Amino acid sequence: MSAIELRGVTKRYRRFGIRGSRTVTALHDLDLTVRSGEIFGFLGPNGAGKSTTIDLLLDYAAPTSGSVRVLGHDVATESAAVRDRIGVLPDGYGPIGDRTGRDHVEFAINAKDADDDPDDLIDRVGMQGPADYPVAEYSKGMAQRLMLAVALAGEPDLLVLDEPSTGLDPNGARTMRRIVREENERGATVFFSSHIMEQVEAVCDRVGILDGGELVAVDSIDALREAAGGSAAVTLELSAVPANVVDYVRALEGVVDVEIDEPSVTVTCDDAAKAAVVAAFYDSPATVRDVTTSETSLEDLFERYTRGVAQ
Amino acid sequence: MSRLAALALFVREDLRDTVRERQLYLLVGIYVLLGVLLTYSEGRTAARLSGSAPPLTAGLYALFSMVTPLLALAFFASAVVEKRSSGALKVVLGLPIDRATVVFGTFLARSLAIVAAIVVSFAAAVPVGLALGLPVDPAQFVGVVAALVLLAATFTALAVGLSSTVRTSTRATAAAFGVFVLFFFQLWAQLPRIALYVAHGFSWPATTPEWVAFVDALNPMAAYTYLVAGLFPDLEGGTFVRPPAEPTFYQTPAFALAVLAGWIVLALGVGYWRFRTTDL
Repeated sequence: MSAIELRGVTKRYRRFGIRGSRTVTALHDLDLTVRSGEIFGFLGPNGAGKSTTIDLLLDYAAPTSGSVRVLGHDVATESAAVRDRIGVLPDGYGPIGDRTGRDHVEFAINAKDADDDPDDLIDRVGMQGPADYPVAEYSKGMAQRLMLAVALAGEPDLLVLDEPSTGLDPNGARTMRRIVREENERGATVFFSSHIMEQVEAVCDRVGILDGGELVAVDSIDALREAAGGSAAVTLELSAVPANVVDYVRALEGVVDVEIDEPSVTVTCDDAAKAAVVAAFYDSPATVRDVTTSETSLEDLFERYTRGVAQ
Repeated sequence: MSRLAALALFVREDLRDTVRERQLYLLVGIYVLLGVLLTYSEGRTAARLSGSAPPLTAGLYALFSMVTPLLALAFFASAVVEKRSSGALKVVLGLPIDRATVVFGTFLARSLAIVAAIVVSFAAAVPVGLALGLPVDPAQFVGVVAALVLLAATFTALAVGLSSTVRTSTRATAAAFGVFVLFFFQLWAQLPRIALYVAHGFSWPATTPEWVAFVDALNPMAAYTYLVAGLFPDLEGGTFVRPPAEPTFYQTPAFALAVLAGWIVLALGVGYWRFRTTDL
């Protein structure tokens, strides 16, 4: 069974005005499957439709057409049953009245008929101090930690996290990643959106890239890198650049380009050729002072797949 | 979790919200202060005139018949829409709580809050009234409290219904004001008369047809007035509706009860129907 299944989902927002209405298509005929047990990263630039997709998963909004199934249930007809088994960290949430952090966590535990200890959840996300203050007084990052604790209540089968690291300090972001892994090891499927590639790469099994309301790629990051083409590079800083070695390297299999910028050389090649390139210069009369290698940069990858916002 | 358990949880927490936000204290404070002050001044006036003192409930009825719709609308018109614009609904609806529970649960919790204020106020007025020699008729006392509870529930339903329908707090406030003018200030009674005037070629017909009085009776304030007038004919004031000397069936207490219940169902039904499919 898939954890999430979107079929032909289109979402149009219509705004009525005095001089006719305007329509924005946030999602266009989207098909997306998230397998049970995986960590799925949902990527896309601002305005690509990530939050809209999550709104549809949680029944915050209804699709204009298409079907949304979560954990085998149709969201349109069984939304409360679905939400019994998922943990949610939505975008654009706010505190419920003047309730404290602990009130929020207890409310979630009770609503899910779970037997978690609120203190355990609060400890786990690292917000023990402010738990007894009204959430309205929290900083963004602290509210984000609290909402993660709320999402964790009742050991959900699916975690839906919308931009979870927004506002978190580096420690918080690390805690977030650790919890995502722990929950996944427990057996939960994790679906989270982000526009920060590095975070996605650190934890995700697969990623989907959304752009302009359409899914432009779904795969593991490695596979996406490969598909995007080899633009890995080795940069060597040398005492001098031996011309014969440069010619030799240029002829190596997998080398695309050699660029000389005395006293350093940048070789564009695929990953497999990197070692041979370094060895060739090491064996030459020149002294190798420094070596840096890079993979296809995540920004490059991101840029290659995305181009803009919803039309 | 069963829907009933979810509803019970939502009502309990929403009621606790009215405590956390001091809303309940404020409501009880206003009711008790008004009730005790009025009873005190009535008692002093009765003592000075040394005639027959009016029953305790007469003054409270007149005062709270006006105050209750006003306070219910003023306090509760933002109940749902405020949660929507703050994003709190995203937290609530991210949990296994459905939208019907939000609308109906808010109505129940806020009704309980205002009913508590009414009951506490009447209870506080009794010793003051007795000390100043105002007679208390137990049957009338219970009847007036019950009628006010029903009135409070009706206007709470109207407030929660419109709060579930609109998208911003500003519109909720405007709509609540409109509802108060429509029902309390009898704008409602003008509507059939305007329709009649227009239908009759912009002039008044010689006799007013029966259906105009029927439409009048559908105003919740009219229904409330007919209900109390039918049970306790000596109580008066409090509303702009004059009860008829010889009520027809739609001006009887039984029909009035049905009208009030109908408004509760209609307001919550429309509120839920609009809220059920709306995008947060």
